[in-house]
Amino acid sequence: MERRDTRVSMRGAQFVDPSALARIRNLELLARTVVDGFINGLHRAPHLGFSLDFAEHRGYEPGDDLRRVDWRVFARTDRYYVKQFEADSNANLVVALDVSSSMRYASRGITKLDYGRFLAASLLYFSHRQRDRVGLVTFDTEIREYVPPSARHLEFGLYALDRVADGRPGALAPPMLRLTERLVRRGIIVVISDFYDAPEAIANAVRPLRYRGHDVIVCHVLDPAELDFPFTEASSFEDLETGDRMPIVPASVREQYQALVRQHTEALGRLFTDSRIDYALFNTAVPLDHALFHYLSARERLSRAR
Amino acid sequence: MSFLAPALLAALLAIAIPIVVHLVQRERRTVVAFPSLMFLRRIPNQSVKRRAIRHWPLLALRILALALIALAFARPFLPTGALSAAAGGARQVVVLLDTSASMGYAGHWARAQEEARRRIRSLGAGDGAAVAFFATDVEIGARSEAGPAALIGAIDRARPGSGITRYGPALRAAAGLLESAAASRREIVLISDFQKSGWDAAQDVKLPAGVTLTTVSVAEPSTSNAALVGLTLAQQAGPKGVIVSATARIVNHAAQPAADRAITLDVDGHRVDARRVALAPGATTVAFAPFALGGRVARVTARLAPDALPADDVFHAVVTAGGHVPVLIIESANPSPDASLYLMRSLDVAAAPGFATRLARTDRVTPEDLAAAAVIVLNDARPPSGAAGRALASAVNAGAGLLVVLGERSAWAGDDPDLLPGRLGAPVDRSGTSGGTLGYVDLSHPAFEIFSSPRSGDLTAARIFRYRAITASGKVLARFDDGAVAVAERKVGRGTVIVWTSTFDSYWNDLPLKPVFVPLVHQVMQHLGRYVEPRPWYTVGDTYDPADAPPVGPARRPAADGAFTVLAPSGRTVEPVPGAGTHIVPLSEAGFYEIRPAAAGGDPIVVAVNGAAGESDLSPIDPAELAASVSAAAGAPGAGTGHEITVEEGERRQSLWWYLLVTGLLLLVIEAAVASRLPRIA
Repeated sequence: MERRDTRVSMRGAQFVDPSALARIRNLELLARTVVDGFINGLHRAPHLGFSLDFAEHRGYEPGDDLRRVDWRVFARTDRYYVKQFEADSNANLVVALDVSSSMRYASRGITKLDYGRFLAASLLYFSHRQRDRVGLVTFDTEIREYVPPSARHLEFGLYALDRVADGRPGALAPPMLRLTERLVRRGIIVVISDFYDAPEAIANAVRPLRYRGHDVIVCHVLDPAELDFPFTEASSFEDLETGDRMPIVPASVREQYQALVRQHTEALGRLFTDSRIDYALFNTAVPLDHALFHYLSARERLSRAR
Repeated sequence: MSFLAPALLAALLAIAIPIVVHLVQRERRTVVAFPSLMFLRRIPNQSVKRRAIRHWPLLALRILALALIALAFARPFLPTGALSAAAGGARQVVVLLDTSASMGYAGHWARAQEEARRRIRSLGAGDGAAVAFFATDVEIGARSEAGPAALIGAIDRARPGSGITRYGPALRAAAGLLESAAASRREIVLISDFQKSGWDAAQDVKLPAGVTLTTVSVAEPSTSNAALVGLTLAQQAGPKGVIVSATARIVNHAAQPAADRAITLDVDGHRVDARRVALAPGATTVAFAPFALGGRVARVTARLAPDALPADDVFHAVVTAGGHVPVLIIESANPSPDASLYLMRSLDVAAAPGFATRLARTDRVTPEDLAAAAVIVLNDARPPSGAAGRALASAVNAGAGLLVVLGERSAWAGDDPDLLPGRLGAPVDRSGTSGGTLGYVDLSHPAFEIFSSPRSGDLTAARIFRYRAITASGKVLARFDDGAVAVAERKVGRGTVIVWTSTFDSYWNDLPLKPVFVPLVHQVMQHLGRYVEPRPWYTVGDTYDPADAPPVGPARRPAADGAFTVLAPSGRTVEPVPGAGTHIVPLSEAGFYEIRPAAAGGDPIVVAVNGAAGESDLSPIDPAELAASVSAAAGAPGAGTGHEITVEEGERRQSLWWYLLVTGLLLLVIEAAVASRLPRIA
């Protein structure tokens, strides 16, 4: 049942199993484990995504790296000066994490919610290392926790992720609308959810963020069992959000179910793409660095587009 | 096939359990949590026929096992052939039918009669029976020797009376009837409303071994009853005679208030007041308009509008005017001017009872005067001689009281009647000192009892200057401080003689001037006159001694030989029961009894009788509790032979349940084995 998406595997990257990560209780340590390991695996571009601008010159002092000596200034002034750079910290990153009841599901290993928490923590840590301002939103039918984006709010965000409240039934549109109203400054918004709703309704809920000028990345998190429906025994299936029960013979509905899920994800991808929203489907059995890679690819692409 | 516990057949409903478990529980067992049923709902025909039963033999096994177990608990037996014959055998049945007043409630009596008839009709050819009615007493109505028709006839004729429910004597009497019975099965059928007040566990009634008690309750599940339980009759002397204020006490035994009910008061058959009263739960009092007492005795009846138990809605009482005890004071032929002044004045002020005082000289008193007096006072005088002297002795022997007040004129010769409680001596003068006082008084005696309480009168305050010495032969009730006899008493026939060794004037002592004098005289006169405060009513079950009748008015005490006739409220004549020196009248009906002296004319003595208040409280006792407390323990030593055979046969009949139970449990084991081997259905 567990499967690796070979399309996103990267040479040299250190794959971290989400189940192993679940044993790390500290989210900051977890994020550091994921992000540092991920960055160390990227031989091609260790500073990928880092935005460095020239700040000033200062006099050379013994011990300074000779590579940072500005030889052009030496040629003009016959003195040694080294160049100093200033990190770009203009970007806002806000992670919106769905904490509704349906996210508490896990067929094995970790729940979708835990996967989303790890992903959110990793993204926050990663962006914080890039001097981005980071913020966090958790929601179900409404916004449960809101950490406004700030360069110093990494710990707040991790703390909020660490104490996610008991789940309730979810609805995407109201919290997204509230988020649109709150986030005035444009930035990058990552929405993590299982998106159990009609594709049109989901797209309509997320589009306002894009219309406000945000760069939106949608992470659709699903458990392998939700994708494959591997059940065998005739049972009563209970909806985690409504409590409704339905007698199901899995063998007779599996193919239809898989087809419906596939149609759902395709429709979401199509609708988000049409709205210039980046969409990715995540299987909770797949390591987190795939998600990070997807994020960075998207961000690089978005930065180029700007 | 019959069942000992057919109610347990309801357990057959348990056969639905396997089906329900199959259809419901199995589905509940495998519940899979899933994030959302959004996609599954879109799939048509997603469910399969899981409710179809696939393993019919398995289900049949389960149902059969449960059915067998349920049948086993219902204790089936087969009353066929020899078993049936052994189960039978001759029966001796005593039907105890409650005829107490409470059985008059609504449909109690009709149900009781019908149940009694049904029990009699169900008797077999060889069975014997007796019908007994019980309330306060037990009465054998009929025996089966007279035929079933006689039993039914006795039941038909019986009616609930005024009696009080008493289960103990009734059960003892029934057990006595069965003692000599040779039948193998002896049974008492107790048909009653099972009033709690009728059972006294302290009576420790136990039925003999082999006698079974079957209780049949005819009580209604819920009852409501209000009863008249008392009538207070307060008398007040007025210018036009005695005015009586009557107050009725009503108890509503129901938990809810009763609607307004009419209540009336009749005196000697004439309506004197009618009111309406609201009855809250508990006790209520109703004060009637006062009425004047025409004669000396009046019959008073309060009636509440009848409810389901009419017997306790009527209350009878007799109001007797205070009355006057006839007192004859005999003075000497030449008395001192105020010899009887203080005595007569103190007697005149008495109210309840009053004293009708007559004064006579010892040489002029007639035998008629003496016969008419209840109390004779010989005040500083010689006893009359001749016919009057004999009349005096006769009156005292017949019950009259004699008070002898000694003074200087007193003398008692040898030919005088032997009535004096002692031998008369010479006067003793203590005027030289400050006088004597009373040094000892028997305060337990009825004449002095009212002075026994603290601050109730100081008998020693009086100064005694002279008295007559007496050598007492009777009981000394008081002595002076020098030890001399002050008061002595002697019984003569039915009468009483008391002697006071000083005078009732103010010369020999100052007792008449002391506050204790008037009550002392009243108490002595009531004691000598055997005055008893008349009871306004009695209760069914009490007995009445005509000798207790007040010695007032035209209705005199009947003679002690029982020469009187008694008419019950129902009009029948009641035979008095000989008692200790007198005859007593058992009071078994509610209403007014009339006791007429056979010889003399005049008005009869009227006695009011009411039902017991306990009969109005219809709170029931659990019949099973009563049966358990009187029945002999099962298997107790001494159980009758016939009873033991019955138990053995009963056990044999019931052994069928054992096979059913074992078979059912075996089937359950087989079912478990089969079910565990069946493959789970995918």
